[in-house]
Amino acid sequence: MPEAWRAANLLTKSWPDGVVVYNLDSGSTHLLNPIAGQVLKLLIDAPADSKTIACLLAGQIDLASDAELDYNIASLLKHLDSLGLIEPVPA
Amino acid sequence: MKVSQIEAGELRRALSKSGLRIRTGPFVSHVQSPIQDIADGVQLFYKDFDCQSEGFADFHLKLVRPRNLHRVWRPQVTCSLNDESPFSPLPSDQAFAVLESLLNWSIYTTTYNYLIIHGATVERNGFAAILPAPPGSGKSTLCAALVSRGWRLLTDELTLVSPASGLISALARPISLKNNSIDVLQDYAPHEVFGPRIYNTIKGTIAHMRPPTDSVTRMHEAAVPGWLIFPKYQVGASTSVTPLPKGQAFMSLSSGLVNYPVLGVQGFEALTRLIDGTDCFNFTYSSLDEAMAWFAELQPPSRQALAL
Amino acid sequence: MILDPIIERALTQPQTLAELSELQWDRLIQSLRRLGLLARLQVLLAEGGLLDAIPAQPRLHLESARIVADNEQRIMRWEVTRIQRALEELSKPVIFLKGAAYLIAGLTVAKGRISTDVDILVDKADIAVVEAALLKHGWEHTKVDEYDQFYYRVWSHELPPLRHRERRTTIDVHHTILPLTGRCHPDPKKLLAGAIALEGSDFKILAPADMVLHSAAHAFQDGDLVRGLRDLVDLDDLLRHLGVEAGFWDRLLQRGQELELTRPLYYALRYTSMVLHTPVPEAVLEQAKNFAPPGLAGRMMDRLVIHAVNDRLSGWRRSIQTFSSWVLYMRQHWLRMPPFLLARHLMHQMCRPHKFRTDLG
Repeated sequence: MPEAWRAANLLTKSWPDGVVVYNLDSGSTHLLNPIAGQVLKLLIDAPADSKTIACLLAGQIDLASDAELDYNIASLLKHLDSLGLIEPVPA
Repeated sequence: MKVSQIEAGELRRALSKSGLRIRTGPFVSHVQSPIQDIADGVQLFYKDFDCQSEGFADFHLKLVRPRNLHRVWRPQVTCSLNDESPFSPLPSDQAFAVLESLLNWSIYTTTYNYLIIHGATVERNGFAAILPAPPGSGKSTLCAALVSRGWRLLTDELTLVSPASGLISALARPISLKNNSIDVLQDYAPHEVFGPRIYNTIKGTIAHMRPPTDSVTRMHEAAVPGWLIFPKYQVGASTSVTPLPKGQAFMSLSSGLVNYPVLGVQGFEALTRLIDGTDCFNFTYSSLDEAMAWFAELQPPSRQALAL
Repeated sequence: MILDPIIERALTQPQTLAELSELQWDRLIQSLRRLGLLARLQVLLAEGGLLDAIPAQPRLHLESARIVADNEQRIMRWEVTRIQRALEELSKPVIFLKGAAYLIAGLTVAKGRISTDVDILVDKADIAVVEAALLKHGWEHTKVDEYDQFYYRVWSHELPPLRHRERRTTIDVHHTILPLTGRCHPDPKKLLAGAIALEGSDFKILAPADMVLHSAAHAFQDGDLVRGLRDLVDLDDLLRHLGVEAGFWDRLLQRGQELELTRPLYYALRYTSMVLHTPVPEAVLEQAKNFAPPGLAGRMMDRLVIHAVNDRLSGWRRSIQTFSSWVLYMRQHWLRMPPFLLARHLMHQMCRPHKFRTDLG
């Protein structure tokens, strides 16, 4: 697991039912569900590691901050990386 | 001058020789063809359009009967766009349908100053209804019916959205109807002008409906997008409308986008602005009367925070 | 005059285009579209602050073409980052060639180009690990016919092209810049040694003189003359921009000899100056004459090039079309392979269903 993640060069547009994301470098467009969109926006604000993201998110949407959430967030981040929307911050 | 001001024989000669430059919205298409059906089609469907014999043309279209063995028992038509042939030869009685396809093709393949959505657009009272068109959606039927009931026709096939202004440009070209919808429309709107049926095309039987003079006269008026309505024709279905959340509307629209990836950031911004500024619906119908009634009641969109 | 006068004006004196009539614009847009140079003209006009003087309708076509070209550039830029990500852990020298290199170097010639294929040059000893790394990161083979695989690996100068599974973009991995079966053998080790590294990484681009020589070799020996004018436009732009650096021309002549690419260098200098009035110093043109082909071959080449650079339909010099195309085709294969191999290669191309046997005998 990388130390931290940062968002790629992105534009976003949020709607109640999802967040549309445009990657300025790859040219790809994605529609994320609101949770994934929120995670991405946190990383756009500032690079962070998985644990921090999980904490921030738990605070914002009133979820229990536990091991299950950590695991889900870590998986989500890997998925966002595979889509090219985030990248590991070099050590 | 208007096409209607040219006498029939003169029109045929002009098309055969140096061709005719016809303006459709933002584009001028230079059409050359010795084929009678083309001359007839231009005279019938493009009578209100401006044309000239010289000047800059955006596209150069030629349709001819090739001098091959086929011309004896199965005459064909071949076409070229800017001197390249995008389509295989087809039976020559399909010539006018080929012309219409080629006019669409010319825009599809060269135009990136507009975001292009595959779908119809009509306008009334200052707002445009965009009907994106997956196959079998019945968008042309709906479009033709709306036009026959007084909606202005902008386009029945290619919706052009300007990235800079967000407005939709009009082409006002003939509406192409297929198979059953030809009968349906001729019943529903007997006062409209329909061209001859063209059989055995790749889409079945096709016929065209002439655009109303008013739509043609107003072709240079761009329209403000008001509604994004995804039509679905379903035999026997009662009219049913489901408001579409914007994220879903984006997904639904994505398969109808023709040149979106090439436009990059501009395309993304144009698209999100379009969806932001319109009310979006899924629309299932089988009765044209009910459909017309629903469209007649459409309210201006409840636009969320945008400047157009 | 070699080029249609209006095309020549467009490419060499774009500031005069405001005077064109509607009919001339009509013909120019059509020709440039066929020649693949619409975006290039838009770049020239934009860089020169000349766009406002162009009438609205033709300008829309230029802008549209530029939007396409900009997108191609974005795609290529992204590809370069993905390739770097796939290969960086190998710590092997990798040289980006052609379009990708122009883009990385920020050369104007990159704007207005419409290709997204990426070419890289690696040491022959590293081919296997590079291939493995690319396959691991989502690229896959496209030419699965055994004969094609064999042809590319053994007789040509590259791996068969690899295409990315999702992005559908292509990468060509070379270990020399010209086919092994050809007549010229520029030493790839010299190219690698002279290459310029990017930010202390293992990724490099060719030195300026080598970049020009590679482009010339591609246009006149390895590649197809069908792309004639576009290749000349690239060379013209490279020479104009790189030629202002002190010592460039001397280095170009010297490197041309070191890499045994004097013939394509001669052609490049001759034809860019003839067709596009590239400001090649007289002294350099004089010296390059030493590398000219013998009389008849030179005159043939002149005719072929004149044919290749003109829009086939513009009516300008259309006399030798079919014959020239045939000659061009034969010439390209002749240069790639010794005669006995050529016969076999063409035979196989004609009889594709038969299985290729590896005993050349």
